Amino acid sequence: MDIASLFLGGSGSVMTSFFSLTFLIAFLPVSLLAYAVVPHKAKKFVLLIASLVFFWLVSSVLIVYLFLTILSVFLFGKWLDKIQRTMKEVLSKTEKEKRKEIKQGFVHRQRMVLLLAVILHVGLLLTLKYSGFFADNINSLLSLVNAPFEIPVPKLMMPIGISFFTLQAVSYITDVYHGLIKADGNILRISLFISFFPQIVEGPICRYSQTADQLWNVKQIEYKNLTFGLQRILYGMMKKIVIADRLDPMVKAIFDEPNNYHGGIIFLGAVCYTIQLYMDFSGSMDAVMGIAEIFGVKMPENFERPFFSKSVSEFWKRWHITLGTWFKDYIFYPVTSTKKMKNLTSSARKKLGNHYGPLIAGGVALFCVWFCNGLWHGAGWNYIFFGMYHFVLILGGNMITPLANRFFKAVKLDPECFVYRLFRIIRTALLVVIGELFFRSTGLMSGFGLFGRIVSDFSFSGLNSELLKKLSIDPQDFIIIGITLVAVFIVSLMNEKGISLRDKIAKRGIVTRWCIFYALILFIIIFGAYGFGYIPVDPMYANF
Amino acid sequence: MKVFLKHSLKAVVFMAGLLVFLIAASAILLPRNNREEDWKHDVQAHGILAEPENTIDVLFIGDSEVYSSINPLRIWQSYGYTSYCLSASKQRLWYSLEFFNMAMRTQQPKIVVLETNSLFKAFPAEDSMMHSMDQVLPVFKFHDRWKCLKFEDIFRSPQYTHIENRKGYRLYKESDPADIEGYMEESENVEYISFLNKIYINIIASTCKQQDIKLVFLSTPSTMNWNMRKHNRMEKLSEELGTDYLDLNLAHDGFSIDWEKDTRDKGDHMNYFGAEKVTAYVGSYLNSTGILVHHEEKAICKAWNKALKTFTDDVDKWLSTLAASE
Amino acid sequence: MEKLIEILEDIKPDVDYATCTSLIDSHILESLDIISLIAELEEEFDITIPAIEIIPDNFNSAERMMKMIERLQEEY
Repeated sequence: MDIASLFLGGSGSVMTSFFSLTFLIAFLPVSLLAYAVVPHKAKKFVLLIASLVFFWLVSSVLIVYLFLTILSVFLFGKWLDKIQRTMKEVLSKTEKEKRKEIKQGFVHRQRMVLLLAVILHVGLLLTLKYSGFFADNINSLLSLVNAPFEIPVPKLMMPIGISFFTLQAVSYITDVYHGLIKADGNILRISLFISFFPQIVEGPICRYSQTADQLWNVKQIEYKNLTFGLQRILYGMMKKIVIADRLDPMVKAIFDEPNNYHGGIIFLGAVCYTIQLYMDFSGSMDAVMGIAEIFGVKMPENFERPFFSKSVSEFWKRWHITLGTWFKDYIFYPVTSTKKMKNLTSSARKKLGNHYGPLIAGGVALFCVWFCNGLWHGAGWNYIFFGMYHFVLILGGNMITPLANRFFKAVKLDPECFVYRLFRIIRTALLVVIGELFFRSTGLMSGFGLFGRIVSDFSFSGLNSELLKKLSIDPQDFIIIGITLVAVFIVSLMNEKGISLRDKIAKRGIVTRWCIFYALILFIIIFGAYGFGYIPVDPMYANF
Repeated sequence: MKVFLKHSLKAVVFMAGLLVFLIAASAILLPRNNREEDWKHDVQAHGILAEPENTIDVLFIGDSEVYSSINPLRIWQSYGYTSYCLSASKQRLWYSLEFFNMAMRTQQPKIVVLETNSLFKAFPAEDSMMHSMDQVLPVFKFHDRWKCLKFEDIFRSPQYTHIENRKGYRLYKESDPADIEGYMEESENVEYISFLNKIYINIIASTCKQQDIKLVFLSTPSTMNWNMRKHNRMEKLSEELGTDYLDLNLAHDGFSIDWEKDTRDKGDHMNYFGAEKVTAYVGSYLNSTGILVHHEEKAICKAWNKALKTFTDDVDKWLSTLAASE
Repeated sequence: MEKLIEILEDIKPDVDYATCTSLIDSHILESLDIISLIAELEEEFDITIPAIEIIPDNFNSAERMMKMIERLQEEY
């Protein structure tokens, strides 16, 4: 335990952040070196060992949950595979007429196995994550009816990343069930797929078909991958250390004691929190992608410049993409594809037309998705509200689209003109900020309180140097945040237009390239919010 | 292989270039003075930079327990010894080592007193790495000084002008009684000191040995922070290192803390009255070592007497209003 | 094929379905359009489209959709 105390000493663990020194100058270089020097066949094992060591360092004994998950995923895969194989065998021996009936039986058995697996995995997540929340709520119900007893509120230790790897586990088993992938007979490959160290803390949530083979067949480190990867890590580091961490003290000050501030300041806090969350999460994702890139692994992107979205529904296709995709694949379409829902859609289309017809079934499915999405983020009514808020916005947006289109035709306004597009982008961002206000607030009631203050008391009065000092931020901080945001905006705008800045830089001469690298590194070192006077900020999504 | 060598060479050249930039940035960002506007963190401890060379005999190093309970001016008043508190709030051993090294650049102390509370406070390797790095390349420590950088400073070498009149001691007037239930209850157990902390203690101990400095461990009274398990560990450690160990949490002749009056925050730290008692005891201990000499030099006497007078004037005024109100 | 294009036009007009190959990737067809589309296709072509078939690869172009429909018709 002595070695672990080096990493876990003091307050909490530090390795969870890919921008911690421990990770950047100790763990990552050691893993890369080991990876580079071992023979080709052993590389995957280096990755696996590094991943397990990483998980042990960030969560010590809680690694048993990871092992349990891996083992269970492996066994359930095997089980489903066995049923599928016997089914094929039996089917090939029976005549055509009887096949359907026999197949039904096997499908039913498979479904039961899948159900059991999902209940086990999701159940574990629910127990670890929500038992406190449920117990609390039951207790307040009990106290409402003056019950003479209370149920104990359990305090369970939740391993980091369980919200993420549980989804990967469920996705694997479901894909095996559907026959999309073959059950993996190699438990080590599954282990690597579940536990690959860059992704285990905050995702992205990958499907087996996306990464398992890539990880198992990793290649020698290539020069281009190395430089591109490092570049991406640096870019993410800039987002996280310069912008997100610099905003943290102010956001904390405002949300810790919102009653001290006018609505305008709270609104500013919500805007800053949204920026912080985006920079923190997408910056960490840049690091994940960058690290994976060094190993020659391409991970699915989690962000696609969400703040260029013109509608809330588009926003969610560009923000935390892998989570959205997971919900779409494993909740939305399965719900709408049930027989009842399909019948409902068909009949509703005939009565309500093309647009509103599918909205009923879609709405039900959308509700399920957003309820789960809210709950996934945390045990709290404000998170559930956050989900419902977006559900209403997306469904509402869909309902008024035809009306809006008709309106534009009537007034002869081109919905694609720049001003209107800009209006939609700003409106979407505003709606998102309001959502994040509830997301960040300490509870649903306080969320409404804050929102009320913004509406009733939208004033920036008292926004002077004294207040800034109280918020532990100064005008210079805002300048540096502004400059960095502009830089991020320009890069995003270029990406949005399909220009790859990285390829452009790679084509330049060595002097230009090195100058860019030097400038970026020095910028992060000098303007980063770390060291004296700063409290290190854990990656924000690691707690979800 | 050839490609590999080429790329390795490139990497080395790149890192060398980066190092040059970092050294340059360090030179630019290094504070040119020790005033609050030059470096706002822990001004009290940094005051030692402005003390004339080789004039401080004793260094007190540790966390808030030190600056709350030891008053160098009183030691001066009683014995004519010069001392300084190198302590900051929540000071961990990496910071203690940093202060120790900083002081050793201009001072030649004869005794170093290490307060023991912080020896038990673990900190992550992350901090150790970060702060070892910022000792080599100060840009990592002082990077935030871009906010107050002045152009004319760039070509100036540092000049430290901010003298701390109280020599690192902080005066606390309030009192808040402690609950002494279970305080210093007998125990056979021995508290654990983390691996990393041991390394830091050993570095400080071996430097002291090399420089012929007497190292002393001191546990200042604190009901919240101290117990027998820690005492037992310190007994063992001081035996291993061959140092003196004073635990003022235990009864001593002529020394007793009134936990109703002498603490400012329910037994966590001393207040003025507690500090007077601790300082008196530590002063007589220092005297008993026979290592230190009573300062007679004119310049030193003048500066320290002046600082002492300012302090006593302040305190006496406060004490008289206190007496009047009671 | 014509039938399919007709259905698509009916669900979301003003798209060049004959040539577009990124109906999903460029967010032209949204999830609600897909629901509508599936209901229609199942009725029109007498097939069942299970949830696992709903992947971008199967819906990115009219041609891919046709392929999927033909495959599903054979299966049942």
